[in-house]
Amino acid sequence: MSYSSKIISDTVDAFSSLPSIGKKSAMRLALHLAGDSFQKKEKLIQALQQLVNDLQICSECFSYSDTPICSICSNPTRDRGLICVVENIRDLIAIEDTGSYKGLYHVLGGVISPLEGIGPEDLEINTLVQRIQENNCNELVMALSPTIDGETTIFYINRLLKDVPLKITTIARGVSFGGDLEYADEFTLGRSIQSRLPYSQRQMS
Amino acid sequence: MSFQSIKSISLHNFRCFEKLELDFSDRLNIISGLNGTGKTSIIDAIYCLAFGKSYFVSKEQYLLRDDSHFLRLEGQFQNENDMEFIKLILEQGKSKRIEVNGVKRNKLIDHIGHIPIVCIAPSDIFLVVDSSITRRKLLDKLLCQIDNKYTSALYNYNRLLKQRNAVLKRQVQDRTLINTLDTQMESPATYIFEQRKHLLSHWLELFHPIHQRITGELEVCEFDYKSQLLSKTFHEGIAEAKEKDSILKRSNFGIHKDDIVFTIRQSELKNVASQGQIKSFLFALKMSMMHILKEKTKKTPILLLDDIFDKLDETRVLHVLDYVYTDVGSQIFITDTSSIRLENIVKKQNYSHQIIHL
Ligand SMILES: [Zn+2]
Repeated sequence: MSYSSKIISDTVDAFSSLPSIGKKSAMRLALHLAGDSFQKKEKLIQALQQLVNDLQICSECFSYSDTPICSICSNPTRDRGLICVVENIRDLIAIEDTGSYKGLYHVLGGVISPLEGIGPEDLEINTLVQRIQENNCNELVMALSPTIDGETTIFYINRLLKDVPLKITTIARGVSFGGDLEYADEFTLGRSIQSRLPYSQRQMS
Repeated sequence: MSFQSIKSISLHNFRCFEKLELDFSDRLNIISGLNGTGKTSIIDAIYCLAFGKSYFVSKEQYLLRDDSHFLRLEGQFQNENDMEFIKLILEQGKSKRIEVNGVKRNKLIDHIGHIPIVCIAPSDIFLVVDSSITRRKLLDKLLCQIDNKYTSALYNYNRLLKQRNAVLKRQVQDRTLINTLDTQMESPATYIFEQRKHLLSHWLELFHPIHQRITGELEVCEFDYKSQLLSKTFHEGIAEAKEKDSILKRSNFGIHKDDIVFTIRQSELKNVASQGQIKSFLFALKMSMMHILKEKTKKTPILLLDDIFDKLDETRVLHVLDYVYTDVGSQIFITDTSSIRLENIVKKQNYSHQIIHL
């Protein structure tokens, strides 16, 4: 596609580098933005600028945050004895959206898979263990995908924590949990996080 | 018991065929044509739809015709009154897609065993002469068709094994992670071992009378199951192998080391000189496999016979056909370079049949 303006062409390229945005959608967005009011464009630029300059990773739970400690971790009404372990921030948002969970989170950044070059040291596992040892945590809720690699990750963490007095539970499976928490509807996900199951493998290892 | 058949098939860019549509007889189908006309491709197409994988070609891209970018197979299957349309699409650079009545299969392993099928081909000789993996695959193929739990145990075991080997290949071998994987592997490994052991003894019982019928002689044959788990539990074995594994950087203990030794009158099949004897053994092996499939899936398995006269005389062919046609009651597909020999048999036996000339 050729444009009369290189600025438009650059904007289209920038948009089409985003996931699930093709050339056509990118062009639609660019043309739409070009025609928008100055204020609207300023707002977008400001949001993006903050995303680049000010967004941080929470040093407690490793979710995105505006401050060194995120708003969930610093909320005094949250149950500090309860930590929900998730693979990524999308899963955190899915659980948070149910409104049924009042504990804290820990974002691992994936699951263990040496085949894909992801070892325990590449994930926030040591920080999790440290966090549990330093704080009075009495329950760990594992909300990882029910794949064999997800299970390895749960087993592994379980092994590291075998001498720590702590209850480990998993969220009830069988929910529409086919790999992606994101797609589970809020009702089932909400119910499953309330009726989580004690982790039966704990004694095995 | 329900009768399983394929009514029709359509091939698009599959192996040597650009486009081909065929209707089949419910009982016996003779596919005749000179070498290179694609007889084997037709039975492989049926196998692909039923099993989700080719019987003859290991690299999937070779299933594509010349330089086409995609292939499509469609088959209409019937089981009693249920019609099923199975579609398989392979596109270059994309993962294979299987649909049953328009619904996509999420995983290939969900498809295995859906349509029971057995294929007999000259390449089966590799079961005798090749390394153990070919024989393990034979066992797995049958067990996966009759036991979903086995399929997922095997899938999990293989995944865990690959992960374990990947950990062993790392500069720093994470002991905790290896121990974790070992614990996870124990249950699938034990299940797979038990099922293989159980299946082989049952298989042998069914094998003997069929073997006798094909050869006309009663010969003592054995399927000798070799597994490290016969002498120790998985838990013990994997613990003992740990040091060796760590040095050699791969896993030396487990059901991935299993093998079967086939013997006939106490000598190993691969040392038996007569090609005819080996051939009869393999036929009886596959025939008894059909019996197990029928028994466990409650469906009559479809039989594909590639080049049946290869090293088998007319009398033996007749015994084989009679067993499958009459006793098992399966729908049969046979390829041959000329239809004359088969036509003679079929007419004499009064088999309901159809001949497809290529
Ligand atoms: Zn936080």
